[in-house]
Order: sequence, then structure tokens, then C-alpha cells
Amino acid sequence: MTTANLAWIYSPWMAVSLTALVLAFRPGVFKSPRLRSLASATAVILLAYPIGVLVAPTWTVLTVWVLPGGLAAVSVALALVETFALLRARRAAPSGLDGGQGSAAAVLARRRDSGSATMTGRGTAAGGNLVASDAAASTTGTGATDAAAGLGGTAGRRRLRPRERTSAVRGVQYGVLLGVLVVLAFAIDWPRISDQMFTIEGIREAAPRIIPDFLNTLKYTLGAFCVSLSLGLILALMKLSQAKLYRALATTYIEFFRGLPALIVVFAVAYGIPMALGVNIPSISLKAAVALGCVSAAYMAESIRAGIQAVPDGQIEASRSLGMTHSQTLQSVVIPQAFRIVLPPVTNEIILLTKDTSLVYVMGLTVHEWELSKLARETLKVPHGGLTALFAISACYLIITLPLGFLVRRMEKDFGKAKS
Amino acid sequence: MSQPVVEIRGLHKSFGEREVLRGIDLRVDAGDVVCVIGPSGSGKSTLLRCTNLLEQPTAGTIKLLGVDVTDPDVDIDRVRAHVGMVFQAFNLFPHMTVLGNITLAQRKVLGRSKAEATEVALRNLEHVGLADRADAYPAQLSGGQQQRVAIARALSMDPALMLFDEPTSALDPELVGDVLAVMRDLAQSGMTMMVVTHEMAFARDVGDRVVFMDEGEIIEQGPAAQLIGNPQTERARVFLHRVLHPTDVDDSELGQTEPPQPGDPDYVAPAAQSSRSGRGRHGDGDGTGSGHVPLGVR
Repeated sequence: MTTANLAWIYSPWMAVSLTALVLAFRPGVFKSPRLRSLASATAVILLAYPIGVLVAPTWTVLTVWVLPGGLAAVSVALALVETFALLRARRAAPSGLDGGQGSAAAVLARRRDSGSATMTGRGTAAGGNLVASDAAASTTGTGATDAAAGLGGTAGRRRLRPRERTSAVRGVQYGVLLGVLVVLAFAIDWPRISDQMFTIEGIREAAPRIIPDFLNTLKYTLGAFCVSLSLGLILALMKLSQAKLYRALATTYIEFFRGLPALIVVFAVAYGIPMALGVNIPSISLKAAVALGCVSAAYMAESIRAGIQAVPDGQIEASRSLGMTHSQTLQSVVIPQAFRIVLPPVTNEIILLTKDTSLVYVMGLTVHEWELSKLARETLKVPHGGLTALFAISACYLIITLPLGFLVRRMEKDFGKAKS
Repeated sequence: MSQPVVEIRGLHKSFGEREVLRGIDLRVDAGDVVCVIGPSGSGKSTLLRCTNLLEQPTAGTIKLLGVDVTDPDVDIDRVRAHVGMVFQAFNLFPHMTVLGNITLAQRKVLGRSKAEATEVALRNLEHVGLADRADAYPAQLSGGQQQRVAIARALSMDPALMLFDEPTSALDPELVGDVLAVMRDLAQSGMTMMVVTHEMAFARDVGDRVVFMDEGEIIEQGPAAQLIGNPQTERARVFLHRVLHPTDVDDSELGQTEPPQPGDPDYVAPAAQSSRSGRGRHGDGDGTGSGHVPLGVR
């Protein structure tokens, strides 16, 4: 196994270790310092393991597996144990001065009377500080609280109960998560994954075609988007029109194309339209754009219509009161505002269209017209390809969709701020 | 006599089952400032919106500048170009600057060039005191400033009639004065105005005529000082008393917006109304007659 391959295999391992490290230092996860240092030590060793294997592969695997694995298991267990102890102590502790001890005055009297000098200086009682000079602590009053304190409770915990409960629950969740990650890291057969999914030979054959097919995917997406946006806008306006016929037509179209799978529509457009019209359309891009655009327009129309209706009525009233016609109002006042509202859903639609381009293959593509999914499927047929090409091509899709998703979230945040 | 700017005859408006306007007859002549007052739900805003045909009347005729706008064949956009409307919610276009807001309709409807429209816009902004904010966006302005921009926007169309639908109701009390000052200057320059408002001081000082509405009908109308100072109908009297002296409302009067009916211990026969006393009235000694309801400081 080459170094590069090993690096591939152990990157998930390192990701787990880094996660453990980050979790260990998050405030409120591990309350006790010794537990925190234990968890950090585990994380560091987990991190060091793959580096060690890369550098000196002759280490005894057993030693290197047992040590970090054991530490990880121990720290997870300790976190859980401490959390449960906290919870149990909380339930066992008496409800406090007002609960079982009677009035504060009675407790103060008891304190003064008992004469015991074991005031822990924690000021637990509501009026505890008042009697600090007496240095008295009633045996019955603070006995139970001492017991709870001995389990690791802190001063004034009754006041902190909800917060401590939250952090205890949070600690359990993190502990469980950490446990699952560690188990997975050990259970997965990393070398086999490396052979199957991360070999360089796998993508060597597909490599020259990745960029052209990426561009093809982009081309089909953008073509479909143009058709979808224009047709969607028309349909939205039809659905909002005064004429019943337009509304009926638009609704029929939208329900029809939303109800069919995109694959069938692409098929129908690719074979049906040339057959029906008696023409032969050579351009795959055009056919793809029309087919995918038709389907996407149905969804886009609903988003655009909602956006137009979201523009406040007052805007239209003001515009009409100034003497502008209905179409002038739409053009200058409504649609610019609707555009801002509608931009996040429309960007979502582009992301969906990107993935729908995987259906274009039914049209019968020449090698130059392949897009990414077709390339992925072809690469699977290659003998030593394995799934590597799949991963590479998935990365290509993510290069398109992740930035768009980020853009959508940014826009929604900006518009949320602007509106308020 | 020149034709009235607004002539409304027998106006009825129903929203489904609910009849909001029950037969309104109103006439506004050139240069008049008519203030419409009344309790909420009385139909004042609906009346104003029907004038502009923002609501379609169920029955009756409305003539604006001699044009019957209730005629189905009317070119309403051309009529609306001569009628300016100012809304309670300002309704400025948020995606354009102040200047853009004001010049948009001028260019699209009146066909003015960009330079001409800008010149008119700046002139009107000067009148409302906002010439320095021409490039701001509406979101950057305060409520009072936005409303003044809205007034400038309506004025830039050189309208013959201005409609104001509770222009100051959504404003901080401090900013109300600015807007009312602009409206007063407008009235003094001779603009024909129809104003739906709760600002009684404005109605009395600036208005020529006040129309009191309740439940879709005009109960009383007359010269401003007279109606607000000395309302003739009992309903108007009760309304003005409650509006002008809100803290004088007795516990026993809570919720009583209708004048007392026969059988009520407070009922007074119409003949004896002018010499009524009690119920928290002040100022008998100011010589304007009994029953005078002065405008107190609110």
C-alpha cells in the first residue's frame, strides 16, 4: 500500500480524532478537569496512530489498537458514569431549606444551637452567610447536603439545576456520539475500502473525460434553467390572471408535470416530440433543456407565484393610485420585489436541475455528450475501477451544489435581516 | 359654478354580506379641504378607497373631475393620474431610492423625461423638507420622513385632488407634526383634499368642512369649527367627547359609544339638550355658548 493510499484510508480516522479533540474542549461537555484531560489524551493518541502507521508501518498493530481504543472506551465510559452520578445525586438530594427543613428562621436557630463547627463555607443556605460568624452548621440540616456535595456537587447547585441537567444530558449525547464514531472507526475495513474506492488506477481511465463532462452537465443545467425560469414565469402569471381559461391551463400544466417522474418526461420529449412533429432535432442540449425545463417549470411556477403574491397589496395599490397600468405595476413594482423573495427557492431549483441532468442519458448520448452520471456508470464497467470514479464524480456534483446551497442560506439570512 | 372635483351620489358598498357604505352623498368643490372623521368601522377608509376606485362600489355613482368612474368603460388609469393618494402604511417602493420612487410614475404615466421628472421630484422634496435625502432608500428613513416622501410622490403627478387615508395614524406622536405641517401648507396653497383622520386639531384648524360618519352613513357634516366645537347630533357629540377627552370617560360610560336611548336614566329629550350640564364638561365661561366642547390637550 502506498503512502497516498494509506493517507486516503486514515483520513476518516483522523477526522474522528479531531472531532473527539474538539468535543473534549467544548465548554460544558466534561465538567471535571481530569476527565477532560483524559479525553484530550485519547484524541491525541487517536490522531497520532495513523501518522505513526504511515511513518513506521512495522508497529505492532495490537499495541497501537489497544492503547487508543482502550483510552477512548474508558473516557466515554467515565463521561457516562459521571453524568449518571450527577443525575442520581440530584434526585437523592433533599429539596432544600424550604422543603424538608421548615422555615429559614428555624434552620438558622438550629444552626446556632448545634454548635458544630463544620461549616463548609459554601454558603448553601439562603441566609447562610448571616451565620458565617457563628460557624455553625446543623447536623440534620446540612448532613444530607454534605452527602450530595461529597459526590461532586458544587455550591448553590439547587439554583443551577436546570443548567446542570442540560449539560449532563449534553454530556451523555456527546459520549454516545463519540462512542459510535470510535466503534465505526474500528469496525470499518479501511484497507479494503482503500482498494475499492480510492485507487488511482480507478480514475485514471475516466480522468480525461471528467472536465468535458462536467462542462456538459453545466451546459444542460443552465439550458434547462433558462427554459424553466421563462416558462415558470409565464405559468405563474397565467395562474394569477383574471381570465379563467389561463388559470385553468396553467393549473393543468402544473399538476400534470408535477405528477410525472422526470425520467418519463425526458423520454417523451426525446422521442415523442420529434415523432409528433415529424422533425429530427439533432441537438441534445436543446432537447435536454426543453425536457428538463418543462418539468422544472411546473415547480418554478409555484415558487414564482408565491413570491408575487407575497409582495404586499399596498405596493400595488400605491402604484395603481399613481396612474400606472396593471402591466407597468407588474413590471416596475411587483416583479422586482418578488424576485428578491423568490431567489432562494429558485436557487434550490438549480440544485435540483443539476441532479436531474443525470436523466439525459435516455436520449442516447455520443461520447462527447456524456454528462457526469453517464461517465460514472461507464467507469463502473472498467475492471479495476471499483467505486473510485463514483467518488470523484460525486465530488464534481458537490462542487456545483454546495456553493449554491451556501448561497441560498446567505440570501435567506440577508433577506431576513432586510425585511425586519 | 364650476363642476365639483368629487361628486358622490348614493354610494353603496358591501363586502359579501356586510354593508359597509349605506348610501353616501358627498360633494367636494375645488379648493375644499374635507376631513372625514368617525369611529372605526364606520366606512371612512372604504369611502376614500371607493373614490379612487381601489374598491369597486356595489351601487351609486362617483364623478371625479367630471368623469364618471363607476362607468365600466372608464379609463381609470388616466383618471388616477390626476388623483394623488397617501396611505396609512406609506407604501413606498422599497427597491428604489426616494428619487426613483418619485420619478417612476412621472416617467411611465406622464411621459416626462428623466431630467424633467428629477427636477419636479427635487422641487417637491424641497416642499416637504427632504431635499437632502433624495438618494436614500425608504428603509433608511423614519416614518415621518417616509410619509413626507409619499406625499411628494403623489404631488409630483400634479394632481387636482389629493386623498389622505389616515396619514398620521402609523406615526410616532413626535413625527405627526411634520406631516401635518406639510398637509397644512398644501391646503393653504389651494389643493383640493379629502382627509380621513383622527387628528381633530388638524380637522378644526385646516379643514374647511368636516364629515362625521358612523355605520356607513354620514351623520353630520358642516364647517369644521362648528361641527367640532358644537356638534348638533348626539352621536357626533358622544364621539367627539370620547375622542377629545379620553380620560374623562366615566366608569359607568365604559363601552357606551351610542348616545343614551329613551329609558336610560341619562337620556335627555332633544329639546333640553342645549342646557345639559355635568359629565365632565369644562369651560362654560368662555362665552361660546353652552354645550361647547373645547379641544383640550390630549
